[in-house]
Amino acid sequence: MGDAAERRISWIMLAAGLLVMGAMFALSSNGMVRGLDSGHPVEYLQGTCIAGAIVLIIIFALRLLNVAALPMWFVAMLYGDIFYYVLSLCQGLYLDVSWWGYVSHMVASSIVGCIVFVAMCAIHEWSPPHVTLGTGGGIVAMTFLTGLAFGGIWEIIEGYIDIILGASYMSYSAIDTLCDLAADAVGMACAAAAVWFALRKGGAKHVLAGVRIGKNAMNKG
Amino acid sequence: MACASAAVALWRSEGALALLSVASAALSAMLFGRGSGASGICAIAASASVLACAAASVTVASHDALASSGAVSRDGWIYLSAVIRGVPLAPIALLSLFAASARFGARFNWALVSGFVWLIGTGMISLGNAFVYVMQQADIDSGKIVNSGIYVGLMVCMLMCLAAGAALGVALRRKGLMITPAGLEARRDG
Repeated sequence: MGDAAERRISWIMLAAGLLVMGAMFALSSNGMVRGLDSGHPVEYLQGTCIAGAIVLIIIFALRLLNVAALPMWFVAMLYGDIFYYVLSLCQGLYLDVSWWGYVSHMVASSIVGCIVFVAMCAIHEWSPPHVTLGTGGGIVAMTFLTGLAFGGIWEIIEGYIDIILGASYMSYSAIDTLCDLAADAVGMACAAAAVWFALRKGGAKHVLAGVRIGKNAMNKG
Repeated sequence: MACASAAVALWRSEGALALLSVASAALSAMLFGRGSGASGICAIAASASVLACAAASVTVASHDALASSGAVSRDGWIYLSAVIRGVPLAPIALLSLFAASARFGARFNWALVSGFVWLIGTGMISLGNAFVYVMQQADIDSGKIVNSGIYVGLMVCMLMCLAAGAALGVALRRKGLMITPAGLEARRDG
């Protein structure tokens, strides 16, 4: 895909994303989403829509300003996860469906695992020659071991947001937190298995083929 | 030592320390026959620290010995138990780098060591908490394990790993060393 086509798709995805986030914000503010009936506070749903919009802006601004570009399949995965999270939260699925939160954690953890994997491939390929993650097994092992941390960091963020705000927006019970961490571990194991096959297919260089940094690299996608 | 620690942790249903003990034993086993002096010392440090922490956790620093008896406040016990769980994390994280190096031919400089020790340590305690869910249902039901305690525990352990990773990175940089399949070697970039 050429630079112009990729930029056009990025603009369309950004506009559509902001439109949906804006619509969900407006619907939440006017009490027109099921998540409010399920028990989510309105400011939590509004904050989530704003956070989703900010993440979308960051992802596409990096591409449109020619700072950094990720493979489109990767961007589509992130994009889908933001929609999945915001829409299902506003629909109250996290509170109404007992297993929804755990499946969401597994999905999100797998996607984080893919992000960590790309970072590990970059470390492996772009580090000085005397630094390496070794064989494909080394990249997968480091992806799994370091990726597990992000589930814990997310739970810390959830917990401390509630502690600082003195409310219970994101944390519910000890069982819920521990199950979230277990789901994160399962998701990361799935990601590790998936990246093992990705590496067997083409190696770290192949994975990084769509990652471009700087204006001069943008036409090489 | 790591197997003894795992036995203690399993016997007294200490989920996080059981996971750390098993990880320490598995990583030490990976280094068997491949390790160097430095990796051997690291394996001993990891196994000894996890055994000491498991023993402390089920005896003098247990919930019954401290919090239930009123010797320390509940918050004090939460912080203390978090520190006890945090102690073996850095040695185990470092051991996993030695194991990855010996098994997969990886070579880590000071920058990677400082970042990876932090992330691997935090990841280990996150996985450990998943084992808490599996092994300590009774403690959750009785209120010994509370949500705020889990957050505090994760935070304390993460900060300990961050500090340990930074210290290890600085030490490796000053001494000009890096982790290689042969153990600790002088780095080649001058």
